[in-house]
Amino acid sequence: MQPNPETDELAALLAGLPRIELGPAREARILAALQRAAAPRGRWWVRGVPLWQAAAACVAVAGLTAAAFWTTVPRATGDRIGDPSPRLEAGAGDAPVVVRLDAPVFSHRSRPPPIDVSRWRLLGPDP
Amino acid sequence: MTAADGGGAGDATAWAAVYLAHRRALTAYALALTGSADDAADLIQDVLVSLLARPRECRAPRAFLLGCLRNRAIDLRRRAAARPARPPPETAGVEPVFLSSDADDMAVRETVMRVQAALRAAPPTQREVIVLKIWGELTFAEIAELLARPQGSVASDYARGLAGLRAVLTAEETHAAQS
Repeated sequence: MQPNPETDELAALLAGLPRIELGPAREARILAALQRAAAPRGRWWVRGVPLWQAAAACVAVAGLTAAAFWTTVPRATGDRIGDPSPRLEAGAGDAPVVVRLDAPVFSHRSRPPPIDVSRWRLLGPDP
Repeated sequence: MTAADGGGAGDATAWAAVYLAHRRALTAYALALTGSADDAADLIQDVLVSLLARPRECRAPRAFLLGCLRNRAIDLRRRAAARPARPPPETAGVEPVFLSSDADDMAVRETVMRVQAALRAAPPTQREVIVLKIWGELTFAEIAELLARPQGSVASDYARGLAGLRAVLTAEETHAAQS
């Protein structure tokens, strides 16, 4: 743009007109807000964590705990927590039942293979 | 200035220094955008704090901050209108309310009032360019980038706006001298 003395003169006149200032109080408020925003955050429970984030964290922790429990705790064949206890078969009397396990069913980190207990029977006396 | 190292006390100090160095230009433009000193202070504070939360590279802080003020003011205006789908306004709607008419000198007070009236009568696009050039102290290139307009168009608006302003002021002076 070509310099124009008249335009420059008018621009200088306009630039020299008095302006409204924000004032020390408002400027101090701006600077204080800047310092506050830059200050290290406080404890996590006063940071204002959004409710949905807290809920999502709880659900995730519960899911991981349940998964860890179901994959690491050894259990008997196919039973579930809360199932009724098995009843004694007729004729078993009060004689102790001895069971010999030929397979390492409790050493699995994952879910043990199902065992067919329908063919189990009482063993004779231990030699 | 580089403010991309992450929000913290260092950035706060840097932005505070930028604000103090350019506060006259920032205040004038924020006042022109909002119309009141309280709203202007809120706007400036809002922009500076948001810059701490999202640090970014910034080589020309004054032009960058004026652009942030403009964008934030348009956002707030659009939100207040509760019509989010509305296209962005052509201008940010600046008003020459940052000029003080409380001067002790009577002649200065009259000049301020005449300039305010003449600026209000100017087309909004020309008014915004004049405010950014004279009181925002930006170059034509910076204004063009801020307004997303060609530099030639911005310079032409500035020249036409000042010519119109001069015509109005001269006519008023002549009228005052005759009466």
